[in-house]
Amino acid sequence: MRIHITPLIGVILLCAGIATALPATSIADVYVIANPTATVSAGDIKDIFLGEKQLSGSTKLAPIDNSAAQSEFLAKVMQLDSIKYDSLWTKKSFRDGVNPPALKASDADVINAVKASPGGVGYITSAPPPSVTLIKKF
Amino acid sequence: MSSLNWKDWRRLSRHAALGAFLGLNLSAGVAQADISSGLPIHGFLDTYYGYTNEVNDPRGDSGFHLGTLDLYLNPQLTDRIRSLAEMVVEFDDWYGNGQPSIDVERLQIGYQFTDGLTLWMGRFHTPYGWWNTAYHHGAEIQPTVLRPQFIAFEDHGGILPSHTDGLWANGHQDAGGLGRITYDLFIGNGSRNLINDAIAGTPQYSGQLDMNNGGDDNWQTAVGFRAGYEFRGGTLDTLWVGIHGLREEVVTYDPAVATSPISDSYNGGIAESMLQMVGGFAHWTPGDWEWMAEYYGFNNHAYLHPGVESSVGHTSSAWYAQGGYTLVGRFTPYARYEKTSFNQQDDYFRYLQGGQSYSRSLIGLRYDLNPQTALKLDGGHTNATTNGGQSYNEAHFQLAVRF
Repeated sequence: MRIHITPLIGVILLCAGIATALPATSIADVYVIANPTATVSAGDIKDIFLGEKQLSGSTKLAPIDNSAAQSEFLAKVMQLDSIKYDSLWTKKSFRDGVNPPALKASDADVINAVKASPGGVGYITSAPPPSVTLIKKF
Repeated sequence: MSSLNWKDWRRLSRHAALGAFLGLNLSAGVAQADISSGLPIHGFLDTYYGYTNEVNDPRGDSGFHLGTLDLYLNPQLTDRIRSLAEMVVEFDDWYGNGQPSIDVERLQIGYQFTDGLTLWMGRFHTPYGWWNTAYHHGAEIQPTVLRPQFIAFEDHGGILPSHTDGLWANGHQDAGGLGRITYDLFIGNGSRNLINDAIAGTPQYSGQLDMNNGGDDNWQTAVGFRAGYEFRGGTLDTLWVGIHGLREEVVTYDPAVATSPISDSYNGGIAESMLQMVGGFAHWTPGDWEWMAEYYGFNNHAYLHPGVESSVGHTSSAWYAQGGYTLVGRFTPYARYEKTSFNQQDDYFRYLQGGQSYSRSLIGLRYDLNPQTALKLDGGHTNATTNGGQSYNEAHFQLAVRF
């Protein structure tokens, strides 16, 4: 019986590629960044993204979510899933009149928003440019 | 991210269906809102089927009931000034016969001095205990179908003002590395009790607290506080315990009485009471458990004639305790016990619709169909122990959503 090995190898390679790609996605680095004028420590990050810390001195903090990196950020930094995060913000918004973080679509959008706001705090998936401050790499 | 995953499709389909139902342009979830794209409207709505064998149930007969449509928005006016406006359309007022009523629940503007101090002015949820500020009209985030009866809304038989018009300072301060101190201080218009003689058969129990939106009727300011400690981390992570208190002078008015026996200043005023409440509360969510309890102790004094407070106090109490456990993230069986002991020599309770003592046992099951939709089924038994009270059973099946 003749075995057609080329398609078989193709399937094996495809499966290996998928298997390799999945963990790569889940271990992506997350860089939390801030506007250089904001004084923010790594210990403040959770409180900032849950609306518990809204001021840094006289500066109003403006957290910014990044849909391209949100799942990694929530898992690594907040120790939450998106359902729990949404639920916490629903309650916070209803109880305290605090609006949730603005949502941007990409690293570039987040970097621009952080640079534009004196209290801007966001997160991206690659090393930040020198125009913003790196708070912590996760 | 160039394509939608299954969660995105689920979210889109949910919002498309709900948006079509409401005819509103709804934002895609609270945490996804971008203020630069406009001011999002959020809210809650619920409807339920209720069974009861209570004679003359103030909520109406067995059958399908409309609950509440609650809409709120949080305009951020400047970096330091924010506001909160909330309106509800409700169909379940006591003795309301299912007719809709529109209430402005909250209308408050706040200035944030620091993370530890925000000062609000306007109408706000009176900060006592856990339940009143945590859930209020948010039926979907409320773990059960109904609130504990004694802390129901003013027009649902509640015995405390669940709203206050006035000034409110609140905030928190890190303390001791284990957690933080929380506080609320408020002053506002004292409430009045308005008797509705149109409710046949029980005029002496038909009073409803009114928050005096148009100014204080007796110029006696309500003063209250809530102070607590919230553990953050460690074995007691999320435990919030505290004390609360409220003092205000309440005049009861009966429109059928032309000349007031208590003062010429209060036409129709038939009784004047100094409400004095002190109590405590706790809320804890260790893992998949949720526990909560609140206690209210009263030592109310009557006024013998204007300006002279009786030295004789009437003591009363009310409390509830509730627990629930969430299985596989969706199913939450829960149980609650409520008990009140209201002194019927106390004019404050004697003239209120909900001022009769009772005890209630309740069990139920909540199912979270998705993060925005909850189904709840519960059943309870109530013993109303004074003044011709009765024992009765009731059950509810509620569908509640948030958007």
